[in-house]
Amino acid sequence: MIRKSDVVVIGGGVIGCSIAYYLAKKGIKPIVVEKNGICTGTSGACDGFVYMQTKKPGDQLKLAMLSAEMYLGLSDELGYDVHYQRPGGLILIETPELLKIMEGLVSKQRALGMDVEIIDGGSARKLEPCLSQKVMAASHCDLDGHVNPIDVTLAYGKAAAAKNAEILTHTQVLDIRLKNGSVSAVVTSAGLIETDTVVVACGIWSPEIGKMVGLDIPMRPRRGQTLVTEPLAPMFRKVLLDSRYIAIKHDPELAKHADDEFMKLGIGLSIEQTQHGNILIGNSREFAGFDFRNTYEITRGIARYVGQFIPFLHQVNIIRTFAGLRPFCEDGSPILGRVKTIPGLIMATGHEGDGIVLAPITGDLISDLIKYDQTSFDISQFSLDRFLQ
Amino acid sequence: MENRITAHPILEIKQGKAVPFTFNGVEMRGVEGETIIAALHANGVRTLQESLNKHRKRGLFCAIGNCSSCLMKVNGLPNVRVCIEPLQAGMAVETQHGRQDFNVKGARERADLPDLRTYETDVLVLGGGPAGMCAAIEAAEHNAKVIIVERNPLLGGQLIKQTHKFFGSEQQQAGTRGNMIAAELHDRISSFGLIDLWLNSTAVGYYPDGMVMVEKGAVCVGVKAKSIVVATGAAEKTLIFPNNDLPGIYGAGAVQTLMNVALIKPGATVLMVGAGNIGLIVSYQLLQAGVNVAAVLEAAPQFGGYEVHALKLRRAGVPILTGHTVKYAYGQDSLEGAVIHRLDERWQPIPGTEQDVKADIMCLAVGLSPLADLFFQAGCKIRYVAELGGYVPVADRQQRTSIPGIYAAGDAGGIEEASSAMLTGKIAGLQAVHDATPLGDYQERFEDYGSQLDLLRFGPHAEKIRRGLEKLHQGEGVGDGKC
Repeated sequence: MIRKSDVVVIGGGVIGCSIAYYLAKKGIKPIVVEKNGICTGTSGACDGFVYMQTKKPGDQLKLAMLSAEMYLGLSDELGYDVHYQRPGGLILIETPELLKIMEGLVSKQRALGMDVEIIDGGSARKLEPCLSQKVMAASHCDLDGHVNPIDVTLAYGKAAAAKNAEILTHTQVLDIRLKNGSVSAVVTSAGLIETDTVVVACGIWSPEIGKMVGLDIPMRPRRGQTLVTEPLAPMFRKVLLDSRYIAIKHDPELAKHADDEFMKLGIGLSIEQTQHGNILIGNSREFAGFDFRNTYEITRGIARYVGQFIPFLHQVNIIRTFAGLRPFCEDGSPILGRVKTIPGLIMATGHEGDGIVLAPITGDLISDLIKYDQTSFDISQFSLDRFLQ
Repeated sequence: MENRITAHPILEIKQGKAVPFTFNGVEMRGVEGETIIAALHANGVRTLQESLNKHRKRGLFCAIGNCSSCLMKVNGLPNVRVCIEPLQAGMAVETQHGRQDFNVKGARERADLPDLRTYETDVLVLGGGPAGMCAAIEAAEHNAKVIIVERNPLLGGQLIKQTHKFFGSEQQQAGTRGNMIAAELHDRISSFGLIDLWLNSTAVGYYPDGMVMVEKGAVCVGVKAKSIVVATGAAEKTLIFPNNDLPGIYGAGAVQTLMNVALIKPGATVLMVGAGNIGLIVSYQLLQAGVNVAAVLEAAPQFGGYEVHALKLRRAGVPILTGHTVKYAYGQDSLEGAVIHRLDERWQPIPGTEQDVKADIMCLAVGLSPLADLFFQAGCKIRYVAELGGYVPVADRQQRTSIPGIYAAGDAGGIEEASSAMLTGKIAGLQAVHDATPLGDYQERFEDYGSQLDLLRFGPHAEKIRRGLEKLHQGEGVGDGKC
């Protein structure tokens, strides 16, 4: 069977579903091709942070702030509760060295007009009574929040389908055909789809798609492991990260030269409590190829590490663990927009740990790019072309 | 304490040390070291918690730490499985309503890093039931260093609650009661210096490099073993009908635990659901404990257990109603009765056949599912075989799974009976040691255990198991063993 479509979106994760929804909303009917089911990859194995403070000061931060605004009305717009809450977030600081790094980051963020501040340990414990004496300072931002990432993905997918986007699950992309150097069709396990526009939104699998058209996409999977507790009454007033996690994010070299065991393992702290009451305790940043399994060292390491900051967690039962692979791009920024050398090919991938935060704005901008051939926010610096020169 | 059994035709009544504890602030007395659930039942408490979202009352279901039906607050700590937690003098036990809070301030002073050790051993046996005990003994007899990990405070698994005499041949201790076999195996295990027994410990995960994480008391430790025998047993199945979560509706194993281990009379009148061997045997044991058995229901047109067990019940005047099942259960705070109805030959309810049965306990003996989680996690090849209880690892006659060094034993590898579990345990233990260091007496022992197992799986009552094993092995050769 040969199908025809205006746009083919490869990938049924949060990015692909968001793009499909905003395209459909703008009157373009895409076909989403997903090799497993909706939300079965990275989007279903991650935390739900919508953090502003963690973003690179600059366009990434601006994009995140635009996205957070979109999240405010998203449940109503999609008719599906994505559990967006904005309790504010803390980034915990435990050493003078980390304090220095955070002060640098915060001053850049403040220069961009972001309402973020460094507070001392006592003030942090007032905001969040669970914290131990080990916390010497924290950066605090009221804009930080979280969602349920699985609900976000399913909500976008359902809303897209309701607006006549076609979603092909358990369908694999086998090849992308070019005609005179431009995209002409996608070959899938469910047949050929003729199209002149393809959006690559398949996260960690993007390099495989890139190879089909001779592109080398400098991305690799970065694993994160998470522990899930039994459901409890609301225990946290804030969403929590620690500065180590931010330090490792912005400078992977730090993990290599670290002298303490947690830094070596790439472990930092992340805490959020779901609507159901389960506490998600993370997290790690490791390069382990396409290995989706949890490891003994990291599971054990996270459990030990978190107790230093939040002692009561030592008494709570862990009922599950999971690992997810995030699409890490070599320069720490996502890849968005058209590829100059292949007309019709659009990238929306490489968000690493920011896929959930950036999903709404990514969907909006990419759909604008397809519909109007321009975007309200200049995304040219995120183009794949930055690696091709 | 009117619910304690004071006289029993088979079991010896021991007097334990009476200790005080409180339930929701009310002073009560229990026996030191018994499970909290036993003490609560002795005092007539059956409602333990409320479900999180709909606030439905919840009572005991499995009694072996599998399900989460008995979570309570103990000494301020929420979500304690009171079915496996021993009672200590002065404990404060509370009902849980909704999601629980933690005392954040109290924990604040303990910002320490617990020491997490790693142990090494030749054979790691996960589960201390009949299969695990036999695997450990077999390995230790061949000079292997063994660690047994058992979640419950007592060794022996389901064996310790079997007060009936076993069938089979003399080699499988036929004619001996299950609890006595468990005691003998326990003595044997204690006689080996090579066996390290970890009670109140749970294997929580198998990791890529072969490390097993074990929750040992309050801390997690790692165990690295040359071979791992997974003998985790099974979980009781439930049945779908309205109000099947009322306190007073128990799995058959839980009823056995209450009356044969804790020596508690679970109630006054029982409705038994399921007339396989477990349903029939437990019904008879309930009679022995002085409980009235209103009826035994069986959805199938014939009962599935041995004739001899059914006859004993019939002689005692207990009706065995084949082609019947539960329509719904009812009761305010706990079970008061159930409406049952008949099924036609296509398993559809026949209108107008409803009957009201008054009972304060319902016992579900509707089958078991293997606890195969660790096999899944390790990446062992798994098949769904209904005849063996559900998802089971593909294993050969030597009990080897598709992952070298991981062996299946007992119900975890497919639901059979305790006698076969002991034999698959022996084979797994033998093979685990032999694969690491070849043994002189391997062939002789393997053939002996193998032929005993064949004998147990012979005959019409084992037809289902043979069919299941055949399905499991169909086209799935593992290792170099014959399947």
